[in-house]
Amino acid sequence: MSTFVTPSRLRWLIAVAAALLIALPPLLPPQYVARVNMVWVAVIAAASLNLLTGVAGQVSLGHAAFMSIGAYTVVALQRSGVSELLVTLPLGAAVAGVIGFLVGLPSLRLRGFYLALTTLALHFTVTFVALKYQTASGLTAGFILPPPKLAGIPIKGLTHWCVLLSVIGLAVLAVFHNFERTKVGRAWVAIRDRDLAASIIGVNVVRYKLLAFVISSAVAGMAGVLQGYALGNVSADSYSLAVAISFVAMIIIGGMGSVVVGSVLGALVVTQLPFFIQSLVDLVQGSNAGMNFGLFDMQNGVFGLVIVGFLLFEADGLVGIARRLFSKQRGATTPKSA
Amino acid sequence: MNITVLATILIDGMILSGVYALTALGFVIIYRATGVFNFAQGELMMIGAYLFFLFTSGWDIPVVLAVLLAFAGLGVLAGGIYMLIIRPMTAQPLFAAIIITMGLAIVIRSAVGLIWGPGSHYPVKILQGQFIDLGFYRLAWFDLVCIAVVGAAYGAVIAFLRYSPIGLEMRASAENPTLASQRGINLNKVFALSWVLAGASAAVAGAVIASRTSINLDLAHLGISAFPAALLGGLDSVGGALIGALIVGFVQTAAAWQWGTETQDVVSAAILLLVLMFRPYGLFGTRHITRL
Repeated sequence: MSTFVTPSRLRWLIAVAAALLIALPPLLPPQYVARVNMVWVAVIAAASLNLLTGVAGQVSLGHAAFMSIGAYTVVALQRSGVSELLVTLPLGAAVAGVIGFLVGLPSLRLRGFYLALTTLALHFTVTFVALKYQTASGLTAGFILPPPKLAGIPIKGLTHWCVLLSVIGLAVLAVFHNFERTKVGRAWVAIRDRDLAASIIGVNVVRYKLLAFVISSAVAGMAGVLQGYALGNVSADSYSLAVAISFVAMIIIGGMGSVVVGSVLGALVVTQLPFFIQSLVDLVQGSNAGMNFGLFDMQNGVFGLVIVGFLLFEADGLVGIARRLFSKQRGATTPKSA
Repeated sequence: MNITVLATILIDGMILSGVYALTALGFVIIYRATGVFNFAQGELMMIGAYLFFLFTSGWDIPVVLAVLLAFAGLGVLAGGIYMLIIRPMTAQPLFAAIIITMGLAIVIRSAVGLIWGPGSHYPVKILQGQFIDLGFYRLAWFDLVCIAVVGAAYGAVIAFLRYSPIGLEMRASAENPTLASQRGINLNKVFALSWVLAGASAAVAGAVIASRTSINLDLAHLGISAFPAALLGGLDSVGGALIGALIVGFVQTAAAWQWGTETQDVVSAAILLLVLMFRPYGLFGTRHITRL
C-alpha cells in the first residue's frame, strides 16, 4: 500500500478524478452517466467491505443486506413524508449500522466461515422481511423513490446524482484512507493478522471488531440509500445473494486490504465486465442489442472464471499486479506480500 | 390438522430431508478432509439433476442405470474440480479456498445455463399413478423408491467410510492429517476422493429431486438449506448430517404448510442463526470453536 499509493500521489489522483467527475457528466451520453453512478455505488459498497474484510479481517456475505436495510429505511421515511437527504442518508446509515453492530456480536466468538454463515443468515432474514414488507404494501415490483431534496434543493436527474455520488464517494474513500494510518486502522490490522496477539499488546479486540462492523455496515447502508435514490426504485430483488458475492469479488479482484485503489479497481471491473462481454458477443454474433441467447450466462460465467482466476493466480488482485509492475520499473526486487 | 395432512408432511419431509442429507453429507466429507466449506455443493447437486435428465430423457437410458451413471459421472467431475482449482489453493488462506468455491458455483450455474438453457425441463415420470391406498392417504410407490434410494446412497457412503480400507485412510486423515501422512497415507488422494464422494452423493440427491419436480437453475438454491443441516448435525459428523437434514427438512415442510413456501429460506436462516448462537459445533460435532 505505502509504496504504491503515496499520500502525494493519492492527492493528485483524487484531484484529477474529482475534476474529471465534475466536468464530465454533462458531456457524456446519459447511459454512461448512469453507468458512472452505478460504479460509484459499487465503489462505496466495495470499500466498506474491504475495510471490514481486507483491513479488519472479518468476513461478510451480508453487504447486500446492509444496502437493502439502508434503502428500505429510506422507503419507510419517504412513506411518512420525509425526503430530505440530510435526514434520510444519516438515518439509513444509522439503521444499517445498528444491525451491523448486532451482526458483529457473534464475530466476537466466531471466525472465518462461521462468521460468513452468520452474515449469510442475516442476508436471508433481511431479504425475507424486505419481501414481506414489499408484498404487504401491495407493491410486488418494489417501491418508487421520488428524487430527494438536499437542504431544500431537489436532486434530480443523472447529472446531479453523478456529482453528488462523486463527492460522497471521494469523501468515503478519503476517510477510509485516513483510517488506515490511525490508531483504529492499526488496531484492525493487528486483529486481522493475529487477534490473540493484538489483545495481548493492549488492543481492545471487542471494541475494534464491533467498530469495524458498525462503520462498514453503516457505509454499506449509505450506498444502499444512494442507489435507491439514484435508480428511483427499491426492490428486494436488487439485493440478492449474487450482489453480496459480487462485492466479495470486487475486493478480491481489486485487492484485498487496499481500501482505496483496490476497491475502485474491483468495482470498475465487476460492474463493467458484463458490458464488455456484451459488446464482445455483439461483435462476434452481429449486433442485436443484448437479445443474444445465453448472454446472461456468458457474463456470469466469465465473472465466475475471473474470481477463480484471481484467487488461483493473483491473490493480491489488480493492486498486487500493479505493485509488482511498479517495483520492477524501479528495479527493486519483487515484494512478496505476506 | 388431520391425519392425511400429517402423512403428506411426513412423506414430503422425508424426501426433502433425504435430498438435504445427501447434499449436506458432501459438505461434511469435504470439510472433514480439507477444512474447506464447499459453497458449490448445491450446484453439484444441480449438475446431478441435469445429468440424470440427460441420461433418461436425452439418451433413453434406464432409470437405475442413469442414477448410477450420474453417481459416477459427477464423482469424476468433482474429483477433477478438486485437482484443478482446490488443490492449488492448499497454501492459501482458507478463506480464499472457500471464496473460490463461490466462484465455482457461479461458473457451474452459467455453464449449465449455457448448455441446457434457462428454462425448466421435465424428466420422464416413473411409476406414475401407482400407489398403496392406506384409506386416509395414497402412498405413492415412487415416493417410497425415492426414500429407499436416498437411504441406500447414504448407507453406502457411510459403509464405504467405515469398512473399506480407503475409508479408513480417509477417517484417519480427517482425524490427524500429519500423523496419517507419516503412516504413508497419500493425503492428496484422500482429499481428491472426498470430493469424488461428495460429488457422487450430490448426484443421487440431484436425481431424486429431478425426478420429482422440474429441473431448472433454481435447484442449486436447495444447497443453501443444506448448510444449516450440515451445521446442525456438526460439520465433522457424517451421521449428524442426516439428523440435521431431517430436522431442517421437517421444519421447512411444516412451515411451508402453515405459512407458505416462501418461508423456506428464512426457516433455514433461522436454524442457521440459532445453531451459530447456541451450538456452533452442532449436535454431534467436535467442539473446536475458539473463544476470545
